[in-house]
Amino acid sequence: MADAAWHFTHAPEPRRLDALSAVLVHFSLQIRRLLRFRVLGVWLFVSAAVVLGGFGLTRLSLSDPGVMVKWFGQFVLRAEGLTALGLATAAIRVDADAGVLGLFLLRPRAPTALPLGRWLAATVLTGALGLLLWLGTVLAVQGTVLLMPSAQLARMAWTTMLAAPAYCAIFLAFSCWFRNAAAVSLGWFTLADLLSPMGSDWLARFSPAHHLNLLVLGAYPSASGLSKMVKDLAQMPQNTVADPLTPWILPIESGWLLALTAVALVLAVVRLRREVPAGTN
Amino acid sequence: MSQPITALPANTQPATSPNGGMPVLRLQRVTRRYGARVALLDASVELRPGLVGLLGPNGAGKTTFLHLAAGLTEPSSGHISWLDDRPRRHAKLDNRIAFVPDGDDLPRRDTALDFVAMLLQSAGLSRAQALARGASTLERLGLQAKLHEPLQGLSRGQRQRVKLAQAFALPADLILLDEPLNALDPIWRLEVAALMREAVQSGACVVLSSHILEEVEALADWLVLLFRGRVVAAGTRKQIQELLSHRATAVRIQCDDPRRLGQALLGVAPVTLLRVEGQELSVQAENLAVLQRSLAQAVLSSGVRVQSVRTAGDDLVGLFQALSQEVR
Repeated sequence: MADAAWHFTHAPEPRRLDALSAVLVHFSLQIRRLLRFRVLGVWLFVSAAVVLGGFGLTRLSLSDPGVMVKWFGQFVLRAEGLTALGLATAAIRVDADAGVLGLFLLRPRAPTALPLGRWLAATVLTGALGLLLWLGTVLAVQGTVLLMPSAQLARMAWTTMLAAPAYCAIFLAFSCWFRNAAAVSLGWFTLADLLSPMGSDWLARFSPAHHLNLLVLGAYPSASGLSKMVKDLAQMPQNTVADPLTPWILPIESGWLLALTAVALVLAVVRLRREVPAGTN
Repeated sequence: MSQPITALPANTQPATSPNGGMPVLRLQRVTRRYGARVALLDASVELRPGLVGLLGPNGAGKTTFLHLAAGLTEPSSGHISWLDDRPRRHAKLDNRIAFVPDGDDLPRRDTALDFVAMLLQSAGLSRAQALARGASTLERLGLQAKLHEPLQGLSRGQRQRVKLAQAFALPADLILLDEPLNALDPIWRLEVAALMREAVQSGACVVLSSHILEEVEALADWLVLLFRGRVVAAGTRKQIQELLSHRATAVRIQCDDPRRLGQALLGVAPVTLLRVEGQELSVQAENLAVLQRSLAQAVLSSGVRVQSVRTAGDDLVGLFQALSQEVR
């Protein structure tokens, strides 16, 4: 039955958490939660499928190096975005839907530290999967005519690392504000992805997909759009594809992504400081 | 609609729980709206250490009250302060408020110990301390065999005990329990009641919300009654009954000759209704105190033998029904 030695007041004194330690506590707790096969397995499977797809693509009789750039933007970054959607949404909704998010938010500095710590955990894992995808891409193109210049590959790696915080922050903010965050996030993910191709460049600035694509391509689209640039890439001599880096594209687009990340995190913190998000159950 | 019965005049002064110690929680004219819906209206209550029963039917505003009291939601208007008038998120409030939410969901994949330990770690304990204290608290609540089981595999009662374990694992000054006895069997209800008393003896204010009136009646030192988002009464049970004694009330008397007793009563009391059913006499009067005095006189003068006297509103059920009617 009950433990007779236990007493309400005989508990260890909690140490005072400063802002950084509080974030790190929430980060480590969330990482431990996410590092379970049942949670991570589906995203590992998605990543593996995308890498296999990349290998398959390089074994086709293609001579256009632009194909891999296109493939990277359309499959690798989307797979990473979906992973971010799964991990960042779960970071808030698992507890919110179970009605216990409030218990965590009662802890010292939690309204700020919890979203930041959990975002960091989701970002680290999403980024790690993104880098695995990038590594798979690099391995896939090795020894083929589709091999890209190292500067292009480096920029692709940089893009996967920037995609993780941006997507995770936006999806985490959605999960703080919306009960059906997964559906809202998926809707937004699809819509935001379509904005740029549809020509809504102004609106597309608020979508990581737009900035990530520009980073991967390394150049702003010409008047005739993205397709022309991909065609230009294809016309370059095999294996000596010049890196089409437009000056300032790296800091400007990276800046946009970091700004989107910061705004999303602020919105998440504002929401959690004001009220505990309601659950769907 | 008539004026609500309150232990405080028209919500201008907070109703204060009677025990000593500094105020643990003070609500001053607090209103909380969700869109057009008013969940809590103009509530003023001051709580000090002790066991406080928060009573009300479903939708009365109990959960909103507890969320506001925990600082998990902001009032639309009014002011809330904790532990001697400190504002929300003051450093001195760190880990001083514990909460058990309503509902029986918990994160399904966490084990019981993981879940409690996570909350303790985020309170500032090391991993080792959190695991040790989490395990001993879960054992105190009879879950020693379930420490490493995923929460989805536990019964409702066991999950409820896990939620209680996280609230009692660290000493707190304000422990807010939303329907804590739900799904618990009688043995664990007693154990949890003992745990609440232990916390109160250590100087905590335990607020117990329930719609099971009998349980609260047996446990609480002080009551806050909510109805349709309003604090309709606050005080000890006796204080609330005294408020009601000046309202129309009814007494049921089991005796050997109810007709004779009724005739005797008519001569001495301002009775508004008399009814005889078998061996029972029902009497309604404007003032309970006057009726009770007159009843003693009538029994003596009539010489009838009385088996029992029951006053409507004598228990919390009756009390609550009367209060609810007042607000309607």
